[in-house]
Amino acid sequence: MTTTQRITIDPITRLEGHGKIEIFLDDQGNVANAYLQVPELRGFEQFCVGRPAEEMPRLTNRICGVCPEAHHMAATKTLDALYQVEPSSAVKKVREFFYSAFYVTDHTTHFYALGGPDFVVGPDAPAAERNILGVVHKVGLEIGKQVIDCRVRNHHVIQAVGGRGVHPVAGLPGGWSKAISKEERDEFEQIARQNVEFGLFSLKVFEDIVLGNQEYVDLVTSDAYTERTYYMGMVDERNRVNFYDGQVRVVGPDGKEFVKYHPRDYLKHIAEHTEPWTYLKFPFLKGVGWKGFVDGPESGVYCATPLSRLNASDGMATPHAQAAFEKMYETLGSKKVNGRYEPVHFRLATHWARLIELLYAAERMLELLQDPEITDPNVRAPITAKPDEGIGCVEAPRGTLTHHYWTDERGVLTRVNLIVGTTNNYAPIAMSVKKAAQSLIKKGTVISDGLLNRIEMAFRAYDPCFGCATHALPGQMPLEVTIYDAERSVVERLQRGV
Amino acid sequence: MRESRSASTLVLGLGNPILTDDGVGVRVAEAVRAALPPDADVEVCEVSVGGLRLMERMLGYERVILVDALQPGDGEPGTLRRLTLADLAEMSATQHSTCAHDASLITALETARRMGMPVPGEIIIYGVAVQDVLNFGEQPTPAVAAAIPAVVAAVLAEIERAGPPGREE
Repeated sequence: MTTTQRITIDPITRLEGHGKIEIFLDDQGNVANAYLQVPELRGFEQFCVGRPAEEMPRLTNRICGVCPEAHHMAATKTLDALYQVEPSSAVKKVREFFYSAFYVTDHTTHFYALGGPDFVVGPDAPAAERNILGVVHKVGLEIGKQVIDCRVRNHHVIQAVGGRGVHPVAGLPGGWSKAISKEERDEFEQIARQNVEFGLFSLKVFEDIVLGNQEYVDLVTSDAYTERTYYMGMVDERNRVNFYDGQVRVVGPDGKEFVKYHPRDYLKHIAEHTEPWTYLKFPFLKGVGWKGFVDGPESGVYCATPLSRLNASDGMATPHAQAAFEKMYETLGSKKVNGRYEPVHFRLATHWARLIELLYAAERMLELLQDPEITDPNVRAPITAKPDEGIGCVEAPRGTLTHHYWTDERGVLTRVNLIVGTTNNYAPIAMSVKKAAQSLIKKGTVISDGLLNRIEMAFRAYDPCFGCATHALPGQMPLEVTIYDAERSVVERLQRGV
Repeated sequence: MRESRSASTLVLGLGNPILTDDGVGVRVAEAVRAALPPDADVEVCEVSVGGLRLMERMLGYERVILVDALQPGDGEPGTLRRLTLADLAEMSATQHSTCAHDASLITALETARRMGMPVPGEIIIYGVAVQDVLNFGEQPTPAVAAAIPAVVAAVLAEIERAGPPGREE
């Protein structure tokens, strides 16, 4: 372990805007520490100041090429608050329908192209095969076709309802620029039904491939990928998962509700910790306090992911998703306490939770389409109030997303603050990467591509979007893993450009 | 996937128009559109996507010309490189041809091809070496801004290049 050897697994990229995981070994060859570094994009807040607030749904969705729909929706809800206009129930339903279609496509893509290959193709398979092509090769062309079809039909919905394909434009303060016609409703209903079938199919794929393989079950439930933190997620009035609206609920590692608050009160509950080795800020629960990168009930570290949302809720609001929810908690050995399942702390179960959310989003689309209000042509609201300050929040696929704008009385922005999904998870990601590294690298361990991939799996479960979290254009962030010995010489380096 | 094509050639300007030099592809696409005659058998579009979404946007066209930013380190800012997919596979990804959230463009295209989808016969990438893709701003840096007319001319010449599209290089 003291020889200086450099291995570049994937030389295709020389992008500088890439994330780095740096692992430092001690004299014994064990992991002393692991750090996560990501590039910083600068100046988004300053870019916004001086612009009319109503541009924000179209401006903030430019931050991100991966989840522009989430920024569009959070910005639109922030305008509701800023202009003090409550959207009609019809508007809320159109927005939630649009947002659910986005969830279906986003979660589908993550599972089949990014998270799933570790299980379908195998965690130790060559990097070049751990991708969607490898999945298609292993499971068959039909599955690839289903994935692409799912993406295409839901992008069609997003374009039709959101007004544009990639960067939606339909959100207005208190409204939505375009109603859904009855003809569209009929077409979308077919799409929603296909989505429900696809969601059920995807859970079956997960059960067959992951649960059907004891080695994978052991991997998912292993200590290397376990952290007992607080969990955050938005819930409806019955404490069920909701992506579009509700209150933010936080539960402790034991599953007890710690706090439930209106999103506008986020600053009362969330603070940010800084570290000398990174410009990243680590949000934590004010009510618990920052105790370092540690888990447990005494540490204010919380997590906001698909698994967190399920942990923070009492269940799912649709029948198939609820059945899948119960199955996951039962299978992973969670007990029911006071009518709620205890949290699942296995970070790799996030992939399972993501598929349950996919099914919920599909079922929710169908429910909303069957509501007569979904074709209400009245989707605009008059604006009369003078703007001042507004806060809006949605659950983005990668965590709770909060926008906060301040304006002058003309509605010109004077200040902007965003807490994006991945930001919530900085501390848990750093902890998960370190724990996986410590568990997997021991004195004398041969550092292989597969081993580094297993460390990266701890990172990938969160589907982190650092570009966005640092206000960059994300989705182009390759990852580099470097291991240093006690003399700070590079022992191994792995680069991943996809 | 497109249900019907309006043109056989697609020019795609990739990038984020509010991220300083990252938007160079978008600016080139806008200028190419303005320079083309109205009856040209060419569709011009600006997008800010990579990987699978980029692949899906390209389906159904015979020929696709991508214009994208190349990160610092790939030559003096403003330097233009003409790349094929084979070049991309061997050396340097451009800003938007790879995607950390799903797949690289090459993997995405190979997946589509495997599934019998209408992958373009020819894909050419114009990469412009950039200076600043870390600061938000609507204007490119001077060297990149100065290079835009030459990139536009190169793309227009590429469009004019005669002959039926062959298989991708």
